[in-house]
Amino acid sequence: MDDTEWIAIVIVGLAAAYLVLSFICRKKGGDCCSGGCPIDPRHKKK
Amino acid sequence: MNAQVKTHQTIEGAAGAEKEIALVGNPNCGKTTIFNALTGLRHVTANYPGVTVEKKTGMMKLNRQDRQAVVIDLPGTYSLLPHSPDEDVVHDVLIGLQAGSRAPDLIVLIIDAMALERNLFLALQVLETGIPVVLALNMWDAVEQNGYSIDADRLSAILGVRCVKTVGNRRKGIAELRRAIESELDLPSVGRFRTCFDAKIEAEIESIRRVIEPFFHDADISRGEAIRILSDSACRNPLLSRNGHSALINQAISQSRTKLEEQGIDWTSFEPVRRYEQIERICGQVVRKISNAKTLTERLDQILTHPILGFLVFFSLITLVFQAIFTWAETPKAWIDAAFRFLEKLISSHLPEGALRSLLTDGVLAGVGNVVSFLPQIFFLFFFIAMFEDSGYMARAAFVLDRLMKKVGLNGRSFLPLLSSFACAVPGILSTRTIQDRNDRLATILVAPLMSCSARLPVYTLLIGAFIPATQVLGFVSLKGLTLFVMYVLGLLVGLVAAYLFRKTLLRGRRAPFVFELPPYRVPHWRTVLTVTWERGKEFLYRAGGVIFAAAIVLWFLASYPKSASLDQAYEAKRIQVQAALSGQVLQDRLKELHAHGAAEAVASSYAGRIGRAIEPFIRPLGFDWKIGVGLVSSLAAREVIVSTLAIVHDVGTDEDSPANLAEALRSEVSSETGLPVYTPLVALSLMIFFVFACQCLSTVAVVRREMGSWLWPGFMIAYMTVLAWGASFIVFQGGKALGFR
Repeated sequence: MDDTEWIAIVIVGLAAAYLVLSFICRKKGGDCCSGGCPIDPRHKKK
Repeated sequence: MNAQVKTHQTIEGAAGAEKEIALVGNPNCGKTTIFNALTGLRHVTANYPGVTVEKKTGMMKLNRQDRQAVVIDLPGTYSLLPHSPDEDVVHDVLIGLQAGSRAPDLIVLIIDAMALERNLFLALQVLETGIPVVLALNMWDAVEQNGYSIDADRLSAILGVRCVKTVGNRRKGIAELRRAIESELDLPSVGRFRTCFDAKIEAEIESIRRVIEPFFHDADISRGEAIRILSDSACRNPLLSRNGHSALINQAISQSRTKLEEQGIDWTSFEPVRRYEQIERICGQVVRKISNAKTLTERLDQILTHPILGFLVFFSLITLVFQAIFTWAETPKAWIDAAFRFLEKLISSHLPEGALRSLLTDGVLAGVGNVVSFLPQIFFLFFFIAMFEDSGYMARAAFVLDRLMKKVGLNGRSFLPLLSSFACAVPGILSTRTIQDRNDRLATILVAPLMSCSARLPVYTLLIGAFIPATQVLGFVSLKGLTLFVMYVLGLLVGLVAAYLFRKTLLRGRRAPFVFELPPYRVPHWRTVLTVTWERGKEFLYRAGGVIFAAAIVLWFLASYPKSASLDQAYEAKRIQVQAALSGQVLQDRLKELHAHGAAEAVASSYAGRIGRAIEPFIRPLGFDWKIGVGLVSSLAAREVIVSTLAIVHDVGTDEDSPANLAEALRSEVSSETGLPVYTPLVALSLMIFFVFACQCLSTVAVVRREMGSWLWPGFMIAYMTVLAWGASFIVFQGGKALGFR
């Protein structure tokens, strides 16, 4: 493992968590196109 | 004219003594100009509590009575059945349900005389409020200019109200209007026009009217309100939220709707259907065409809404759009590519070689950059759509396609949801809420994901750019643009065929009516066009910054791990061996080849490689290898992620040995077993066809689940689209191979 590998793995973990959370959010209907996304505040309810 | 201005508070304080006159009409019918003319061009604004919508009030002196009247300019509305907060205000004020306010003493109903049919819908509803009405036929000059005549006296006799011809912006007819207002206040007209419904419907209206009667002082008002309560699927009526009464009213509504349904009557549409029947009859009696000279809109519509010419123009325009997408977007795309390569070089020169550098260059920049570089194409597509919408052409396209949609059993209202789905199926599916018939709506939802959304555009343009030759068809049509056009049309046509089959089998039922108004043509307003283009393109950028960014990082991990020390050592040994034995260009070529083999083997043994190999047997008959398999799995997050995936698994980057771009990487990929190219035009076509039909979008599935309230229909949608995608790709690939194509 090189010196930067642990940083890369942490970033991968965060990205995976984001994907899982956004999937849960969409399952609950919090899609950015419809009801506002609880994960990303930019995606306001229209 | 005797006019003065008072504050709303003053007016309310004197409400008992002063007459209240409400100006009501459709949006943009010239209400405010009439208001200014009646009140002396000065007004104050006041808010109703609880809403943010403004109404204007002013004072008008009534000559004969030597008294003043309060003139209220209400927000524009198309119907007394409200769909938005400003329409709620109009409804509540006229019905007398507005808190702290009473129903007006007189309504000046302003009608855009050039859009008599549309405006009469609201007029017929207003006539049933029982409040005295004066009708102002505004924009009267446009009627004559456009070669029409309206028999105002006949209209007055039919509707049972005083009619005045006005041209608000030139102050014409205002004196007559003032006189009519005063006369109506003195002596209200009698024998108002009333819309009568079928006896079965009237019985249910009466049963609801009896329940709500205590809230109203007038039987006419309670009848009109009963009609709206019965047909309002959104249940916005304030009576439904009144404590102690809502349960009783809801019970009556529920019973009446059930009875109507049992008798095969659509309770959501009986009102517009009946009213428009009567409006058609009224217009037939009062509107005459007196000049054969055609307006520009009429002349254009002769061609653009023609059953055959209209289709030809529509398809020609769309073909031109796709041609333009390919030619005009090339330069900005090259700029974006260059910017990302610059960023990659910058990171490579500042970070030491290792996992983090690889993550940033081979993962993030390769993944996100390859998707973002298609942004110009997406902006151009939305720019043209916005131009069509703002110029009034899109309504004509809807009109032309409506004929086709009726033939396949879809409602005319399905056009807009399907059109929205060309940007993204999620808002398209949400906009099907305007379709009242459940089977119509479900059929539209099921085919909406077949419209090629913006997420498919990067996939199409990548494959077309890499594999479709830059030749011209018929000497002037680019084959690349034509192929893109075919992909879009294929989704639309198969969607219509699928809708037809659904309506004939699973979703049988009668068709709901659809009323359609074609607006006049106008030069597109640049600010509107640019704003709409930016808003839609921004959604794509957000996705690139969110899901695609995260997916690229995870994909980099899956394509890079687990690392094999023995594989690295073996290739390092080979590299040393080659460097010792060769030199010059031969050495460089050999090293490039070694790097490609090493990278391919590393990806093949990675997690991504294992996933791809696991599904390879299922997709091999379609001409896809395991790398495309990884892309198909990852594209479930978002369709365009396949572009990132292919860039990552093909090791597109700044490395000297890496291919310069993804298109080149795909073209130069050679099978180690056969020595032949892995990706051919036939494989590219098969993959594009797969993307046209496959349901690879979790957002779409989630929103269908929510709209339908069960997993049955989203499950069916995934199943039929997957079978369709696999079958169509199989036929294209195997059929193409059998015919000798590669």
